[in-house]
Amino acid sequence: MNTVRKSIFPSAQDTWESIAARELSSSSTEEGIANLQSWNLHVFARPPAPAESPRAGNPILPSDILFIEPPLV
Amino acid sequence: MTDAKIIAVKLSAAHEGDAELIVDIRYSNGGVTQVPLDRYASEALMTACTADTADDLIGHGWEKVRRALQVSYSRF
Amino acid sequence: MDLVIRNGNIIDGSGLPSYLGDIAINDGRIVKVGNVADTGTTEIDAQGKVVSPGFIDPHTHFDAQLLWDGAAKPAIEHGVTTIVPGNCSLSLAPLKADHRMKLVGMFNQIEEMPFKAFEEGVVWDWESFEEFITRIKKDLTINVAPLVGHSVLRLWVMGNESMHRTATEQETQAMQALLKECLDAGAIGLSTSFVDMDETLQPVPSRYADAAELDALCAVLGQHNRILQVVHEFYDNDITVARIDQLADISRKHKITTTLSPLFVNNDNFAGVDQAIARVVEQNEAGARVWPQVQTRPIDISFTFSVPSLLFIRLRTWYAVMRFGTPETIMAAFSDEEQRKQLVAEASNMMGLWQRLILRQVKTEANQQYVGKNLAEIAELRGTDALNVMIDLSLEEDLDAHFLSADMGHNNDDKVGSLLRHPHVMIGASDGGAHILSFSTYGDTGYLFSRFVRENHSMSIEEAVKKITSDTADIWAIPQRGLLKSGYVADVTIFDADLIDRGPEYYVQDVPGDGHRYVRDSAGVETVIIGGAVAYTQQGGYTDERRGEIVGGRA
Ligand SMILES: [Zn+2]
Repeated sequence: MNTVRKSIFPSAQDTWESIAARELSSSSTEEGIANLQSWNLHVFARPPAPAESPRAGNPILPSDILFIEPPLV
Repeated sequence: MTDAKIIAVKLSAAHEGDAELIVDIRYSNGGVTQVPLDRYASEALMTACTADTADDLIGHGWEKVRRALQVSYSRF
Repeated sequence: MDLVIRNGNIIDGSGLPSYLGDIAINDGRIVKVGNVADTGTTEIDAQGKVVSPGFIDPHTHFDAQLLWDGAAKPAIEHGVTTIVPGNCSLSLAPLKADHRMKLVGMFNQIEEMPFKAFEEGVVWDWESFEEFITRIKKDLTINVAPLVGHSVLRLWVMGNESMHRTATEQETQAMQALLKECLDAGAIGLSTSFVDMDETLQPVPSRYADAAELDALCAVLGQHNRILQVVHEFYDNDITVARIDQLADISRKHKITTTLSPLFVNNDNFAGVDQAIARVVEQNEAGARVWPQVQTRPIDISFTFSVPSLLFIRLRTWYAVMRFGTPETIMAAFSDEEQRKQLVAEASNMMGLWQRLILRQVKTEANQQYVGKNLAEIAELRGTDALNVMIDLSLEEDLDAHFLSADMGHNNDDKVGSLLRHPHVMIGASDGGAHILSFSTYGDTGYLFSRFVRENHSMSIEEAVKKITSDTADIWAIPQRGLLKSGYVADVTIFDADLIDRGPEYYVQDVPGDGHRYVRDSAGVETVIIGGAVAYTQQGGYTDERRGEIVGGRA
């Protein structure tokens, strides 16, 4: 198979922090989160979970595909 | 920190029959992604970048696109 | 013999070259193809016309309409004899009484089916999938291969929690059991969505499912040998490729067919689409069954000046007037001599665009005469130019003049044509019955022949027929349809190869609750036979025959 851009399916409890810590462990969490968010702007095209939700403020949906690297050149 | 930036904008036709704005973002590795913005998100991005016309958006950072999406999708 | 079609150019759906012949139909089945000596109770002279299997439309949202219109008008007059509703995670069953209004909200967002249509057009007398099937079967002219929606399975099992979280193991098992019940009742497969939202921008329930839940449901599809349809993040090439990989894994693991739709090609994403298709080929060669759906029609953009359109985002003054304006200030700017001069000057170098704009809708009686004309034509009648006509009409209509810019996306005929004929692409994604207040989703089959067979020569007429008949039937495992073959069900479309086309778009009031929608008539489709009976003729319109069946699910 040809190489394609690396992605993951988030788990139900995943947040930007947890994904950054797991998938981008060589960067600082802060940098990892910024990278993840910049590679996954589609995740911001929806309202974040409401305050009363256990996922409050988290826009990641369990059905999402999240990229863990920038677009390939 | 990531320094991804808007490098191009173009007008496109969205599936729903409205015009949409496609923003090309280039990352430091040279990879490019395209983010489609509807009229609400485009307006929010124009405001965030104090832009009068679409081409004024070029050069602005990816965080403004994130902000524009957050603002427009929280409108309800 | 009930019916004999004589002397037609038979294009049998297999892709083989056409030939001259007769078709005999008895008891709803094709009994002979070739030379028919017997006389039919009804005889149809098809001399000079194409006789083909009825067309199959695999991506529709006719769910609600089927409750008051068993012909899914105007699908049949475009030659379509089988439709697949229930796409994109949304079907009208199974549905508990408590959840009806929630689902109506989602349908309102996706189909633009007004609340009033549900209020006045729908007697809610079903809950289970079986009850829904029994309900629509009563008055069916067209064949229906219904998908069951993942979002409604979740809503049934999890209630409002379906819009907040992943399912527990018990809930997943309950959904599996419910899916099995729907498949046993006639569902052709499962649909899910990674993109749809309800009327308040909340993601639909299927988007709160994790990959494991989808996998568990696909295991049930595997046991029943049924299809999975997804609407994916079609606006992003990399996500599209990742979804193709996900579907390929699901397909191989559960040995099922999967389809994703829609796949568009705009002028700036040829490379992205090529990459997606290459990935499909690669995965399918590795044993998967992943079918991207590509629509035939281009995308049009429509607008009024009461809602700021991005069409004007490169025109500083126009965009500012619209973005910061209210209807009153926009009207004032259009009326003010100085501002108008400035606006006209700024936009006059795009005169080509303004001239091509079509006036789609107005509210005053006086301007009805211009509806359907382009602004160049109206300008000539009024002795001015297109840009000034656009402004004048908007003023006269209190900004309620609707303009349409045709062919703005998915409009490169060579590229779209090469996709449509690609052996790993399914022609579909019409969205029939959806977006009813924005544009017409009917006539894509006519457009396939007029644009891609006749004008652009992207494919032969035999290839085009095969693509929307036997290929679709094979992919969806709809038995005994899609070919003109002895023993097959007699779903037949008779059309004029030189004339078949979609007509112009127009606005009608034919939705319950005084609702409106955009539709298109067909051209060149002469007779449509469903289940062996004439359902539609160009001269006489729709007949009273009701031979539509629920197909695919009970294979
Ligand atoms: Zn759909």
